[in-house]
Order: sequence, then structure tokens, then C-alpha cells
Amino acid sequence: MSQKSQKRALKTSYEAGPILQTYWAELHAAKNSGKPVAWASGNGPVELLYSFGILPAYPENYAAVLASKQMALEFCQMAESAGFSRDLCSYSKINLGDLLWKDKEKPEMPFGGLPLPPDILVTTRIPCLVQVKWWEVLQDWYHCPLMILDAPLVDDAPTEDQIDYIVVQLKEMIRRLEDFTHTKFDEQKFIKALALSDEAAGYWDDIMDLRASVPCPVGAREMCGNVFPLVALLGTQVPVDFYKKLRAELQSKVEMKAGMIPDEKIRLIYDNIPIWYDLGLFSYVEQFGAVFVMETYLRYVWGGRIDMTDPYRGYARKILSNVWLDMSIDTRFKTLVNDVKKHKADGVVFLSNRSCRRYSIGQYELRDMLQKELGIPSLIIEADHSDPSGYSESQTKLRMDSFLELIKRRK
Amino acid sequence: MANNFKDLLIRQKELAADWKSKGGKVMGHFCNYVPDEILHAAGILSIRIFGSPAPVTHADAHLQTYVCKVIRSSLDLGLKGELDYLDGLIIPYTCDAMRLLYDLWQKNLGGKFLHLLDIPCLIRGDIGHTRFQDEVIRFKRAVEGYIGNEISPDALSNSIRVYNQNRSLLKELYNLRRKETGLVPCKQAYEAVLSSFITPKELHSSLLTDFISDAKSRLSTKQPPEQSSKVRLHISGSLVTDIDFYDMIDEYGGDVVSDDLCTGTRYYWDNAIEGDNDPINAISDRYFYKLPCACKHPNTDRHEFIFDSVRQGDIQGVIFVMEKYCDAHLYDQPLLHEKLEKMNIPVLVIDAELGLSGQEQLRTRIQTFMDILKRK
Repeated sequence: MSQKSQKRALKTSYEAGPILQTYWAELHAAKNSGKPVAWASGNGPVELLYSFGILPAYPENYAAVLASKQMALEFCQMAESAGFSRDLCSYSKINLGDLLWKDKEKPEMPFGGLPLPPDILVTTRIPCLVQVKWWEVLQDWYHCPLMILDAPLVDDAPTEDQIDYIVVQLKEMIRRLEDFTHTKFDEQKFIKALALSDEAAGYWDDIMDLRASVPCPVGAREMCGNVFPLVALLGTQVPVDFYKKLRAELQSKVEMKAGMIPDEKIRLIYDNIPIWYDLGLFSYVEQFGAVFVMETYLRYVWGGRIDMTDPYRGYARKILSNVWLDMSIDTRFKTLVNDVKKHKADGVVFLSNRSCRRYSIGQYELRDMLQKELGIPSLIIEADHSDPSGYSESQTKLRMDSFLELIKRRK
Repeated sequence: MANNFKDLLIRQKELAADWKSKGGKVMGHFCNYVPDEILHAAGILSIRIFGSPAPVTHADAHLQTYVCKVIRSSLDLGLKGELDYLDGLIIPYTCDAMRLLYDLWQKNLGGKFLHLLDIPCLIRGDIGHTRFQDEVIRFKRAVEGYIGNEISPDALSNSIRVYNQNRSLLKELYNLRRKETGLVPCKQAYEAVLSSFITPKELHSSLLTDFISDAKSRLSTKQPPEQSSKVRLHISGSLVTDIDFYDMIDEYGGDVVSDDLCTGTRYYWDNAIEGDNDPINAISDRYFYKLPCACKHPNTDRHEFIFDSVRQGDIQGVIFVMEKYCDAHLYDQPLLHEKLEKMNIPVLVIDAELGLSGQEQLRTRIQTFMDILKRK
């Protein structure tokens, strides 16, 4: 399960690290100077926070950082020993274990740890109900304001009444943020943040589309390292500049037909959250001529275009659109069929992720439908996205080997 | 008398068949958020699907095993044809797995009336209120579409009265048992509650009226049961459908006098307002403001209900029955646990996958817990 860094396909990818460093430094500087810091769930209305000058920290993202540094287990165990079930989302176990840490020396925390305490908590049911429950626990501990953006699951495209429901909540959030910050809402600033968000998301969509080229210019592992600005910084200039540059580099790679691997034979799609403590699995397949060309987690969780002609409804529509976790199973299937075709994929690898039920339920149906309707084979591997206990690297690789063999024989 | 409710539970399918033989329709639903009164007003027998503790045989091909047993076993029952007698099914958006069950049901068992009650997570405040009410009205229209008739306000008002009566009786039974320990064994009390989910309400209320007056007459004729030394317990969690669990508690000297289960107080605690000009509002509000499930926000009213119950001073211990993989309750439990311990209330946590009584080691744990409480 070594995570040693690989040589990257794109030079721009090396800029992701410094962006992350700067983000964390600014977060701590804000906290130290008495500015409010939010703890926010992914998929929350981050652009709104930035327009109020509130910097968001992401416990979920930070849990992924700890998992990728092989630090997750101890934190999960700490949460479990405090009574939280081992079956709960491992992101939350890592975060709660961090906050509940006692009786032994804490490891040195990357980036200096999450800024404590949170001044405001912002969450949403868009990815899952678990976020709301986790944030309720945080509120119980920190007694600070909690804002929740509720949302229904979306079948096909969001309906007008679903969009209305988001808009009315956004307006209520604006009112509460005015109270919280004692400042007047600056609509121009908000619209500027939305425009920046939309621009960055546009580049990201292009980047994902460029990966549909044959050969694929960049794989999953490297792109997992490049997604952070899209998760955390939407609404600022940073992701705009980063993804614009990344797209340009990718375009030139595609023009030169420079593939991620020298002799691409098998193109794969990955579904679910990456196994953060074994990202090497993504590059493991490369020695067999295989490359991951598209991931539902990278393509359909973050970003999203905004119709700027009607910013509030446009923003609400973006919040409800193209988010894998918020799609009905039927919509997930239709989306996946399009992507299999668009990316000329030979197979799909599903991570059946025991602590992310919202992502995983329906995968068996997706597998069966892909086989039936497109003749595309799938592999289902079992693991938890961040809790490494019980994970078998060798078993997973063995199953991957057989799957790649199967695809090769079919070609 | 005492066995009537048990009989109802055993004869569930017979009851449904009787109803259908008279030309009625029967619909199933999950959880505690489907406004039954609307179905009742449409002449439909509404019954709750509890799932089954039996091993899952068909659903594992569609759903991972790390999903709660209610969902897995209910899909299993559907796939095995055991729910074929239902004319329709209503699935509310309570937890994520329940919402996704709707999609699985639609794909694998579609064809009949299937309705997603797409209620919000937010159950306090104007924003959630409007959305909740819109969904209740949408549900009413769907039922009207199904029966091909409008449901009149008078019919809804009548159904409110029928349901309120049943809930009030269940609450009366709760209060009576709480005051008079041992008057009604806890197993019988919970059989009364569980059977209410599956029985025509008018029939159930008439049985319940007799049951309560019978219990009261035992009280007035001074035949108090000799079990006053029973350890008084509150049960916390989502659902307990394994009725023998209550027997097990009884056997080791316990009596469940309070709970916050959706197969308990959360089902009957709150009534709808009668006499509202617009009964659909009263129905919607009843479900919106009722004692909430852990999957709704905020659910502090449930927490306060537990603490208030304990503060009455007659509860000696709390048993959490935690359905495995039920995220919503599993996040709440450690917080509640800690606060109860600060109130000096001993706590026992047990895991369930619907079935409880079959777990041999559970007997030992319950026995030990009772022994500790008796010594306190």
C-alpha cells in the first residue's frame, strides 16, 4: 500500500501541492486573526461563504488527506472506542476520532490540523444524510450556528419545484449569514463568485472530456491529486487559473497523441470514492496496459456549470445537477451509459464501499444493466474508502488481474 | 382478551385478504411518515411493512449486505412474492437507503401503484413546512388518481378522528402502564402497538378500548399483579418488531414502561388537530411536527422526549436497540448515551438486525444489566 509519488503526466499537476499549502496557511491565518472559519461539507454552497469572506475548512477532505497518508486507522479506532459504530462513514470516524483524541500522543497533523473551533457549520443532504447527522454531532460539541441545505434526489433533471426549494433555502442562508457576520450581503460579490465557479467548472468539464481521447492523456491517480481546488476553492480565482493551465497542457498532450501510458490497451471507468489509502491501485493497472479514463467521483461530484443569466436559479440548478450521489439509480445508469460510450471504456470497476451506502446502493443494478444493454463487463471490489481495516490489497489486485484478463480475452 | 393483538399480528395476511374480499384495496408503506389518514379516507387499508428477521435469499443480488435489515428483508419479501397481496406501496424519503429502495423497487417490482413521498429532511421552520405540505398534497392527488375519485374534506376529517382515537388509546395504555407497573405485561402492550400498524383502525380501537377497560377493572377490583419489583426501563432506537424481546426482558425482571421507538411512542404520541377547515393541513402538520425520527432535522424533540421521560424519576435504565447500519440513529446514540450517564442512568447498547430474541448471548447481557439495576 505504498503511496510514493509517481512522476506526473502533466507539469501543471505539480502546482496542486502548493495551492493546497497556501489554502491551509490562509485558513490558519484567518482563524488566528479572529476571522470566522466555517466547517463545510463538500457539495455545500461554498461560493456563498466566499462571498461573505468566510473561509471554509473541509473535515471530509481532511479525512481523505489523513487516509492517503496512512494515518486513518488510529483515528477511526478512537471514534469507535468513544461509541461510534464502526459501520459509520469513515470520513466522519476520522474527524470525530481526531476531535475525541485522548490518552495517547497524537501524531503530527498534516497542515497543522483543522482550525479549531469551527465558528459556523455548513452542511447539506446533497451527498448524503450522513453529512447532516455528522454535523449535528459537531454542533452538539461546539454549539455554533448550523446551516443545512436540504435537497431531494434528482431523477433525470431537477424540476422547477426542486429548484424553488433550493433557492428559498439559499435566500434564508444569506439572511442568516448576514446575521452571523453582521455585514450586508454583497450581491455583486456573490455573482462574481458564481462566475468564477462556473468558469473553473467549465475548464474542469473540458479536462474530463479531454480524457476521453485515445490514448488517454492522464489517469485517475494524478487527477485525484488535482481535484482539491475544485472541492474547496470554487468561487475564487485559484481554480480558474489552475484548471485553465491544466486544460491547455492537456490539449497539447491530446494533439500530440501522448498517452498516460505508452501502449494503451484497456480503458476503465471507476465508480465510488477512491480508496485513499491505496491510490496505487489506480496506477497498478498501468503495467497491464490499462488506464482509468473516467471516474464518477471526479466527474460528477464537484464543479458544475451555472446559468449566469439567472444567478439564483442557475446556482440552484447547478447544485442539483450532475451530482452522482444525488442522482436516482436510473439517472446514474443513463449517465454511465453515455460515459462508457464517450470514453470508449472496456469495463467498469465499482468500489462497493461499506461505509458509503448512498454511493454504493444500486451498483449491482448498474453492473447488470451495463452487461445487458452494452455488453460491458464490470468488476466489483470491496473496501472502505478511508478505513483500511479489513482491506486486502493482494485480494483486490488478484481480482483486478482476472478482470483485466477477461477484458483482454474479449477484445 | 390478552391474545387478541397477538392473533392480529399472526393473522396479518388474513386481515388484508378479508379487506380485499369486501372489495377494498390494501397498500403497504415504510417508516412513520406516510399520512395513513389519506389512505383511510380513500377506503384503503394501510399497513406498515416491517421487513423480516429471516435470512435474506433473493435481495442480496440487488443490494449489499451492509444495508439495514429492514431495507434488505423488505426488498427480499417483495422479490419472493410475499407482498403480492398489496395493491400498492408508499416509500417515504426518510433515510438515504429508504430513498434508494424506492429506485430498486421501481426497477424490480414496478407495475403497481408505487409512490415516493419525497418529504424534506427539515421538519421545523417555514421552508421545510411548505415543502412537506406540498408533498402531502401531491400524495393525496396520487391516491385520488388511483381510486379515480376525489377524497372529500369530510372523509379526511373523519379519518383524523379515527386515527386520533386509536393514537389516544395507545397513549392511554402507555400512561396506565407507566402508572401501574405490571398491570399489563410489556409484551402485550407492544403487541397492541404493533398490531395497530396492520389492522383496520376501527377494529383495533374497539379491541383496545376493551383491553384498557379490562386492565382498569383489574385495578379497581384490587387484583394488583405482584410484579412491583420489576426494573423499569426505557427503550431507545428505531424499531423493535421482535416481540419476544419484551418477553426476554420480562423474564429477567424488567418492564419496558417507556420508549422512543417508531414502533412505540413515536407512532402514537401526537394527534392531528380536529375541526380544521382544511383537514389536509391538519394531517400534514401532524406528521411534520410529530416526535421525529433521527433521520429528520432537528430531532432534538426526540432527545428531549427521552430526557423528559427519564427525568420523571421512575426509569431505572435505558436500553438502546441499534439496528445495524442505521446511520441516523447510530450518530445520535453516543451523544444520548453520554448525557444519560451524566444523569446517572445506566445504559445498555444492543445491536439488532430485526431479530433479537434468537441471540443467546443477548440473554446473558440483559440478565447482567438487570442484576446491576436491581442492586442499585
